[in-house]
Amino acid sequence: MKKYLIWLLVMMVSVSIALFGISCKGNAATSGAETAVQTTAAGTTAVESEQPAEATLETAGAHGAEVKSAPEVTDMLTKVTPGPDMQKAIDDAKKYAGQTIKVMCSGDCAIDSLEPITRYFEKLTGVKVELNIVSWDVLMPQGPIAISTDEYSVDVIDTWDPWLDEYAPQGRYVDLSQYLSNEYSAILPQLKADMTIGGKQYAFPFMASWEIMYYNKDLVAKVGLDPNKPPTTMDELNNWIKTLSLDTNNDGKIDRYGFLVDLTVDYGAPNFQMFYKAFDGKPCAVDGDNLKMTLNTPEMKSAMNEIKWLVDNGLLSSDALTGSQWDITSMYANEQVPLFLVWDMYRSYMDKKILDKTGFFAFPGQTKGTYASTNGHENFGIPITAKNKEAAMAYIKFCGSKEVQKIRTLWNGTSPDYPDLWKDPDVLAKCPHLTEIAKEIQFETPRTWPVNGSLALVGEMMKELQNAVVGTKTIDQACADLQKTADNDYKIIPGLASRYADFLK
Amino acid sequence: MISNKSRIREFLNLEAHESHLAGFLIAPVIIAVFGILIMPLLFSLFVSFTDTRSVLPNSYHFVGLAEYIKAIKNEDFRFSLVITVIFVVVTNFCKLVFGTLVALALKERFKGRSIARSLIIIPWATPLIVTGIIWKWMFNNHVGVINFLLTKLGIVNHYIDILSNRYSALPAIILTDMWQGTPFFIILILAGLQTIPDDLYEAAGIDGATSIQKFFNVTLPLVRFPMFVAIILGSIFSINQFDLAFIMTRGGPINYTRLLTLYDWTQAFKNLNIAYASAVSYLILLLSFAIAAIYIIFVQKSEA
Repeated sequence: MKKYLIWLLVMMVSVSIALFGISCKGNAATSGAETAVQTTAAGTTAVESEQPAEATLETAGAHGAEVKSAPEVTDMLTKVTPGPDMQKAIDDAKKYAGQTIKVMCSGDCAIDSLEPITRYFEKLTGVKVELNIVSWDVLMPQGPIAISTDEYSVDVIDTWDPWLDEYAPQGRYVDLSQYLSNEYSAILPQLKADMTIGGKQYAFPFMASWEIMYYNKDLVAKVGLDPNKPPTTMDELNNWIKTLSLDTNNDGKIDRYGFLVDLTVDYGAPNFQMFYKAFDGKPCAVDGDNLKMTLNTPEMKSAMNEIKWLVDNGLLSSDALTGSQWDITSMYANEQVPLFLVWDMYRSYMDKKILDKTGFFAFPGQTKGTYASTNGHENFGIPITAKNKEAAMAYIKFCGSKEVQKIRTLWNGTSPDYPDLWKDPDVLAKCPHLTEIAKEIQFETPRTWPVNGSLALVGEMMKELQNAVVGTKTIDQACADLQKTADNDYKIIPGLASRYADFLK
Repeated sequence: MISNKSRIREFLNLEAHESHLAGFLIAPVIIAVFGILIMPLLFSLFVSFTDTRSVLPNSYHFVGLAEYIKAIKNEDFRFSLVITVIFVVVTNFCKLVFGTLVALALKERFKGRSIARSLIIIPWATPLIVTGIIWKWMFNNHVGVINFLLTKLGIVNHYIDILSNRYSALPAIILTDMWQGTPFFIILILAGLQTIPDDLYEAAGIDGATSIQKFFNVTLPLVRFPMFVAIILGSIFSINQFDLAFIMTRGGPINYTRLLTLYDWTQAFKNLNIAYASAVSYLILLLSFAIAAIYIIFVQKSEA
């Protein structure tokens, strides 16, 4: 018995070491890259790991054609001649020199440019900024607390649609309209509408962002598709996905999936809404002065059916059900997937090597010329409890000024807020995806819905989608249950009909 | 008659009253524990009896046990409860079996025993978040080493979805938890094994007992207590397990790996159902208390 026990022990230790050895060797690039993405996306280093040489994502400052270090943002800023609005923001802020404002935002919002921009603002104005960059998992609970509490918490908060829907009508946000000159009002109308309720603008975008398709031109060309003619309809998209899905070891099963997207319960809703929109679906409808959720519709069934068809035919990896957008971005960046759907801002997490071979296309609808779009803008708002509202406003205006926006865009390739910057040759050279986004945005659908607990309801939608995909429910049953949950458990927030009517046009 | 001044002076005569001194010294700790542990606990208990889903002041109503009843009636909660029970039972049973076998092996004298004893601790010492990330990629259906080995060994003929399949996702998390948590069982059981005198085995040998008989009649009764402690503590750790499911699957596919803690986290910090999540927290606490009660009863019976 002693002999067998010792053999058991030796085998367990050996298998553990062997698994780790192979794992480290085989997955070094993937694992490291995934850590890198999570690190940058979260804005805080939750897990530190060495970046392997093969990894194609960087922990900070990977920006396509010109890879620079963050100090160069400061360098670019120092060369800027401030326009009247930027100068006014600086002059306004100078009145509060020596005071401190607290800013809380997500890593997605900050990426890597907000830090040097903030430090430059401090240098110019003498206002001290406590920049607290947190992960989404932290911002999501802390944001509403900061907004809704009567205690002072922050002066500026990264804010998004469902919080505006829920808290702006309760008077928890400062109305920024009074502070914004005409030039600031010249941002893209979609952005402005997104932050406006009842004619009052409650936030200002630091960065615009939409969902877009990324594809690897080399891998596309390798299977005989023309990388210069991306799909323009849903049928063409399905054909691309079919052609890009490969059985590399000839065992009769696809092992290189043509397409990947995050369809998790936690974060997948904006992606699935792209499919819903592509089938002409609308999540809610105007009913007189009120709104009602419309989730048990033929369009919803078609969208669920599309995902189920992709999974059942092995064209979409079932990783989609559990893999986060960060995992999926890592897999794309390591060329394990040729085509994927994610926020355009995620391109700033990729390095030159992968960006050089990346093409972008607008997510197509069923008929030519129609598209789908979901927004993911990073907005700054001021809670009503902010201690230094004027200095906070000056900071927002500084970050949102056209000059700073252009530098941020040229630095990391994220989308600018102002339409005229979308025509700027420098910006277009850096951001070829903007022409594709321009096609999408007139078809924009709201990312969340006008109910108390919007995030929970979109999570319910993803749960029912997954039920339909894995077959625990029929699509009809999943849609019916979703509608029932929406009707029974979620209250429509009154007074948002006109805001959503604009979205639903 | 003693004046108040004298009473105070006498009370403050700490050297003469040891209990006063003790009370005075531990007071800061009691205040700190009350402030950072008891107060939030009481506050969340209070919140669990309200209907608040936001954190706006004065935006709640007292609803008694409504949130608890809502949780118990909720299909997702019950599903998470079942998943959690399966997870706790299976993972601790497996840890006990493997832990015992490895502890028995480590008790024997062999070359490199001390190195083996040190190495065996490594999984337990590895932070859960690191363990979760490593195993997530090991199970990956594109590049995972588990799929690589299964394919090379001919067990499967193509890479399979492990973490995104509803039948294999929970077993994968159980396996990861076993890998991480078995060393804890090994340490406790090994400590128990080392207290058994060799004379007992020699006596059993003289009586003609086989190795298996020695294990069941000598070893097992004497390591019963450390085994029980390991199971109880392991079960409490497992009920509170959050990190692995969060890192590896985020509770998916659907809800098939959504342990109660993850369910509670989603309700509290994502859906902002603060009152409901507080009620769920207390239901989880009750579950842990039930296990702890078994432990206390067992200890009292053993001592008696």
